[in-house]
Amino acid sequence: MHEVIDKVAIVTQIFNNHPWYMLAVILLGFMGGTLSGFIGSGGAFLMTPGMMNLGVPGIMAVAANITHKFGKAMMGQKKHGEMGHVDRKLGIILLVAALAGIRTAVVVNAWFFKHLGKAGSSLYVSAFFIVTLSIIGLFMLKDALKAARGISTGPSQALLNLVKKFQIRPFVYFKVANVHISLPVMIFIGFCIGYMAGTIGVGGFIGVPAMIYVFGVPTVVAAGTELFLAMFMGAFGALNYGLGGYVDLRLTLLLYAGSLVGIFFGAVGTKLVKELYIRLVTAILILLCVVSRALALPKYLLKLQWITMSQHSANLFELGSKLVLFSSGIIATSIILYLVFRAYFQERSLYRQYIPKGIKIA
Amino acid sequence: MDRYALMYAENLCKRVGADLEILYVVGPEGRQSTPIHRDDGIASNVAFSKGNLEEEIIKYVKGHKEILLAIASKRGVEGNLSKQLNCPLVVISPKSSSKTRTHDIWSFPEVVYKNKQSLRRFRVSRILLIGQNLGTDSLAIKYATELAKRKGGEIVCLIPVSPIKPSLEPTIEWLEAQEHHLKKEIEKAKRYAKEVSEHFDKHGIACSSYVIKFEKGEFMEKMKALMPVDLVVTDKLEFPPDLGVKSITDLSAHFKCPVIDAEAVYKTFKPVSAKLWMKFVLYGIGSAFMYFVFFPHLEELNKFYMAGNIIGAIAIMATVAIHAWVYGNTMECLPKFIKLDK
Repeated sequence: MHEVIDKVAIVTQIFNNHPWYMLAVILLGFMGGTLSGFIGSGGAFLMTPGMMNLGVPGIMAVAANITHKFGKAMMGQKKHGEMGHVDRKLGIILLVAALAGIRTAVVVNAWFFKHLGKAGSSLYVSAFFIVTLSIIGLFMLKDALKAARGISTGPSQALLNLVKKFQIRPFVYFKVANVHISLPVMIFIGFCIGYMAGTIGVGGFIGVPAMIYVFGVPTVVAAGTELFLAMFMGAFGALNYGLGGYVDLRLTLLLYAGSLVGIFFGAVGTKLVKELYIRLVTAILILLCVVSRALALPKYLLKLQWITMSQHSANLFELGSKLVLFSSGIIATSIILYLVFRAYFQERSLYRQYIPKGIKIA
Repeated sequence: MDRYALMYAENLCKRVGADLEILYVVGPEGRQSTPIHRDDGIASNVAFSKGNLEEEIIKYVKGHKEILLAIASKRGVEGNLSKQLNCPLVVISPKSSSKTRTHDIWSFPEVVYKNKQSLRRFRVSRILLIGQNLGTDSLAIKYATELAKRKGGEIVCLIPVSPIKPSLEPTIEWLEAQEHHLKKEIEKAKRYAKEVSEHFDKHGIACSSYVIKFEKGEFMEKMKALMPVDLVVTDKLEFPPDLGVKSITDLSAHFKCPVIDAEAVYKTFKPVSAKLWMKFVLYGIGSAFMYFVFFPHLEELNKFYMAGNIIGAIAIMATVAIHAWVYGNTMECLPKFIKLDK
């Protein structure tokens, strides 16, 4: 019971000391939701570190985020009406592997929280975030810049050669995707997706490209199957972090307050902006989030007494981390909203000019 | 003389069949007038004047009642000039126009601002109607008919036929199937073209129809041949992948005139349904309960939610599912109210 009260007290203390942090979480939700609607997946890469910047321990930030993801994916399913191009067989095999990945991630994350405390948990999540998202962000940026120069994009030849070497039997045939995939490779990829989602709340970034480039699944089927995965992974993640007592519903509900508004504006934005710009914005934003997390590391290291540094310097690093994260999120969201509303008012102005009063077309 | 303002004026004159008067406010010669002969069919006259640019424009427009529209470069012209003129004023930005010009040879210089006497009163003389399923009951036909009747314009109807039937699995019979599909689609399009022509004839509107393949080269060539038009009205279109456009917004960047999607217009002006209001109110009450009644008690309730047992975990999932459903349904109404989500 003592531990329960301690976990409840963490967020209570944060909100009592800084009541405006509640607004900051709503803002994070709004930015994450807008970007999520705009990019098609994600948003967690901004929300998880954002909450950690406000003092929420890494494990609780991930728990709040993955629980939020569950409800959001559920709404996404409702919005889409039906699964569309979902290869259920592929989805179920990946899901089983991903659930094992999530469970492992929860156990590892909980170990850091129990043995190294808040700072240890945040340090582990931040380090994992920096390593994985640096690689993903740099690949996405390289891909976007290649596309901007008119060079065809896709996986590198080295990656394709590597994939060929790991075509281990048995193979499974998937009817909707119309491909044969190596079962061990599929289990490994599914586990990685789950582990990543369970650790930092971001899984779709490797799920969709892996299905397209490694498995050879058509893009539409990959996107539909990822949506199918997201809902169940979110539910399983929420259940597991809930079993550990790490889900503070206040954070989740505040995230929803912003994200479910932002997601609609982001989705409208995709119709107005060229895909190349969407990819560029995503890549740059991911890399800025990585920079922000890197700036947050000294404070965690200092708390664990692994380095020596003046408190003032650690605070400066932390301030820099907050500034980079929030300013990049605000700028990216503002650009998306500007594009959406500019197109909206241009359309209205056009209608005023060319649609005489009283005209009825239906 | 700013070449972008001149380019805009020339293009507009070509489209509406108007004459062009050019006013130079430079030099000590005083007011003179020189007719010039052009090979593009636009009757032009150049006048020279000395003094303040804005004052000279006002004087000139007042002295020439036949002037329908004034076009000026942004350099040296203030926004309040428009209030002192008896006709609409269009101000062209040279900087922005030079940017667009390098990207798209069909694009117009950017119009910076216009005065309140909008261009609405201009005659829309040529409307291009594009649609793949242009039945006489389609929204685009209804809108174009109304507009042409009110503005007295002619209609050019373009029916693109998609030659590719979407298929995930190309087979040996694929080519044959494509040919059969194309033949059927062309027959259907010709039937539409005939029906549309009869429909416009009935309303006394001049109309010409074309059926083409919906492929980048042919489509763009035809579009170029049909220009200039005053307005493009579109029905539902399934863009072929090689055209590189996702929506009508992308397509509008290629034309020299506004592009209006008839379905979007219909949805924009359709009143918000009572059902949507009802949904918003009901789910809104639920959302208000969650945030103003339930949320403040979460500090206490968390002792149960965060107990770290199966009941707490299931309660979290149930609460999140209910909240996402209730609040999500409330927020879903907002973009529909402002017609952002059509």
